[in-house]
Amino acid sequence: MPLLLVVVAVGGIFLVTEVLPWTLSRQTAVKRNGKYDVIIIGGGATGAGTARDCALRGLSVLLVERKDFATGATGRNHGLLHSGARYAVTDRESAAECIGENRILRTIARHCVEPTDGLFISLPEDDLGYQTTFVEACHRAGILAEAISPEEARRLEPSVNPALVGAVRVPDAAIDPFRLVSANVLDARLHGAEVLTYHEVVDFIRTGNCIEGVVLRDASSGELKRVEAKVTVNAGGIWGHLLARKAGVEVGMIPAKGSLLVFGHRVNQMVINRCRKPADADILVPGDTICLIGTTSDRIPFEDIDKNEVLSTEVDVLLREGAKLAPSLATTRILRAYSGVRPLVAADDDPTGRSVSRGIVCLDHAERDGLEGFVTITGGKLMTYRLMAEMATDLICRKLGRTAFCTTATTPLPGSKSESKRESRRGRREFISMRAGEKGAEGRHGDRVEKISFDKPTDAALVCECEQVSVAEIKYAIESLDATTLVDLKRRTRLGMGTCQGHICAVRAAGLLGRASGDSEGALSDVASFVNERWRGVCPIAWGDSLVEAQFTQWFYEGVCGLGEIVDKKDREEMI
Amino acid sequence: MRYDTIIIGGGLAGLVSGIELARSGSRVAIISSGKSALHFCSGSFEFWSEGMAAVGSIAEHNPDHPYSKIDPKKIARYTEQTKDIFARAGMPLVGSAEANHLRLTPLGALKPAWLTMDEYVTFEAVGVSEYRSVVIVAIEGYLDFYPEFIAKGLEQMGLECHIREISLAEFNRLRQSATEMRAVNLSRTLKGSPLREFAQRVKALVEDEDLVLLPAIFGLGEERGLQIVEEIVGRKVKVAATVSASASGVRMQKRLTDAFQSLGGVFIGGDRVVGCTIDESRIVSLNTANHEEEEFVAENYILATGSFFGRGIVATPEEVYEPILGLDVVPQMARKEWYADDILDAQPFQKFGVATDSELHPMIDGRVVENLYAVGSILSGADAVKEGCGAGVVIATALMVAENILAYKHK
Repeated sequence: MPLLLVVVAVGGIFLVTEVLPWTLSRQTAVKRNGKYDVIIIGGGATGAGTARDCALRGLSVLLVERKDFATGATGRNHGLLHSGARYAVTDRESAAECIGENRILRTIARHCVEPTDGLFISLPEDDLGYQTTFVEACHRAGILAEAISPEEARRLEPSVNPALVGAVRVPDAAIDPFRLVSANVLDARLHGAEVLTYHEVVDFIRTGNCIEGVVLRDASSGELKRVEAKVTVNAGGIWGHLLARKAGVEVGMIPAKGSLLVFGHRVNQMVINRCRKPADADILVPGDTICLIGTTSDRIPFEDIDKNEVLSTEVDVLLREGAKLAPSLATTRILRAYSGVRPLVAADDDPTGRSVSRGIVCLDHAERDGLEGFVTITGGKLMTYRLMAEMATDLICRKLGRTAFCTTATTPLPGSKSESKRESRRGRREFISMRAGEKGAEGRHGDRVEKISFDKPTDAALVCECEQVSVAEIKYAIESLDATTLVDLKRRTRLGMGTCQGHICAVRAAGLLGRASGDSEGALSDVASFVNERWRGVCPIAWGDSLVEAQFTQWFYEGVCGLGEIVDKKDREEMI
Repeated sequence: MRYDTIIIGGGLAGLVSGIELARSGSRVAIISSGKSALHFCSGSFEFWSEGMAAVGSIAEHNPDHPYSKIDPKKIARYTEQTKDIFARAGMPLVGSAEANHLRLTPLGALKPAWLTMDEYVTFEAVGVSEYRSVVIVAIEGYLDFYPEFIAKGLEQMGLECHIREISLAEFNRLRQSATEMRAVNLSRTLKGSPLREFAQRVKALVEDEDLVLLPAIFGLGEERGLQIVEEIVGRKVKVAATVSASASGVRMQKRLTDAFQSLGGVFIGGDRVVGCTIDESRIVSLNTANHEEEEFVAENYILATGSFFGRGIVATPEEVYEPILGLDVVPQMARKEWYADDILDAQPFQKFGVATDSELHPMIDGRVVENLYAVGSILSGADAVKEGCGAGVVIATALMVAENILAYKHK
């Protein structure tokens, strides 16, 4: 249900309740007169990063998200840590931002980044002359770009199209957006921020020309809550357009949909791009056990931003173009298809005209529209989230008259603070003796794996065999990472993201979730929602082995288990 | 190699028809790739979830359904024949051709069933239970059996449920590998003294409950595993289905294969048919991957290779085809029509399969292949999941074809 569109009349109908989110807080910044310094709307990378930056600077923070973290564009892209090379020719400023952030994230978010490097390849039909322009532009933006021979490219990346006529090596990398957001939220909370997921902003509290907070609806109880803050930040991605409108200002965003395909195994070890002007399906990124091809790019109406539909015509383009980068994609199993919506910001709707050229848009609505206490941070990319957060937090501090400086460029995220066990044990016997689930957890949580207990043998048992997710990791995600549903658990741990796309693991995890919450009925209805979330991604590509799995999934959940009888059809329609 | 009948596919359909033919003295070979849906068997077979009384009128409403080719009067006999096959193989079934009973699913739903292995807990109807209270026994650290979910289903039946947990030293060895605590491995461990120790521990935690419910993890380590537990516990002991590969299903596959072989049947496992010679409208011979130089020749051939899951039919982005003989597959429709949005709703792709005439002869380009029969889930027109007819279609068509082949032979 598009909860964002629901308008609730302001007046006496609000149930005014004390908001008491559960927090890990150690050094809670003092909330004065029940008012936060800042409320941040949106649990994507930008919102989570802003919450962290604000918390590190000593502000009292509330982060609110209508669903779970990373459910919008943050979790629906390539997971590419751009070197900036892609923008070097067309947008030098973005390129420079990218390479700067690229270097920072490799250090502060080490456990979320896999330093793969990337290739920009020229195929016989491409203009090889563009390569020279490209390399020069990269150098001007400060990006290390080295033209290499086709032989060298084939040696470095055996999956690359052998017909290539040229290649440039750049410092691209892979980044896991779910881990990144999770670590930012965790650090924000460790520094006193409070967090509410599944809480949607249904209205703003407004006095005269000032936004003084928000009215939230708790998705599980339907209850309305008022929370006040000196500054409210709109970090809602494409939904930020509607939020701004609700607050009474216009931020002219244009929804741009991009679709991607996930393949069942990792065909390439380096990121492979086409060395030409950016176009459809010209980036292939490896990540964990899989690889991703994307994206298409289409403007869609606002009515469709929650649909996340992938059309068969898009699947066809992705497959056709993808096979040009790495021919073996044509015969590799496709696991699923998904799409996300990026907020493009229209220049003519921004009267200041300053921010647009940079891609990142940071608006003080007091200055721009005469609306006090309201800030919008949008545009940009996943990989410039930290810079966007810094810009937003600088603005918030200015508005609050605070002088604290940004430290996020040098302060590692939780998980990247120390050398991990895996790094220190590499090649040694202790590494080999680590349990499968512990290795998996370490890859995902970095040094935070110390907080996950594998002492009891029952905790080491695997819930998800494809992705090596153990009982211990599921418990940790429930207890420490705000996971309340199976789909949340998927985003925290990769549960059900592997080749089987969530068969038995959903039931196993539901058993653990039901035990933790004491609500086994809720856990079962959650299984239906999880299985259908997986099916949405499989449906556009359900042929071959994927249809074999789909038939088994339906036969198991509906036939063997009778899930459809347990979970009411009406509830399921709401899920879909 | 010459046979009376060659069966392609060693799952439930292939084994049931193979056993019936071999028992009547035919020379039969089964060529099996080794993959079978039986491995995930819930312990029950379904025939028609709307009720056995409705089976007679299926042909009227649903002329494309495989049941429309089966004489409803024969269903009572097929039921008895099935019980007989399984009883001889050492796995007695309960159930009847007159009415469905209820089985308990791993998530606690109660679903109609036709025949169920007698070790499993079943009920005659909603609210009709011979038990008053039950102790559901969970195993520490075993993730594929959910006493809380199962209790929900039993509470609906008016049973008072108690959940208790036990552990066993022998299971610790399995725990050393994170993926070993699974029904099949537990079942293999439960033999000899560990089985008896297990039973003693169960006995120790039973109070005044009149039913002890255990996960279905018996029969692989020791054939009579559950009966031994029941004797030691001294109370009625039943099992409920687990998720993941099923110990009962693995046992069923093995016992039926043994039964087929002990009747003189030839079971060629781990092989697959890769070539076929067809003359006019008859199959002359088959070739397999492992026996390239040999020809498999028979009077009759039975195709029992399953649906998508068994690779009996294969989907590409453009079409669905039958990979061994290139048989006609129906219905053909645009890919976007194959699916429904909710995975738990009826999925059109479930009804895809080969087209057959009234005697279950498949076709190539509309022309019947006279000495070939298709049985089981490769047949088009049935939705095993939503109609609750998976095993029913498999068993009834397998028995019908075996019967027809034998009838022609005697003529």
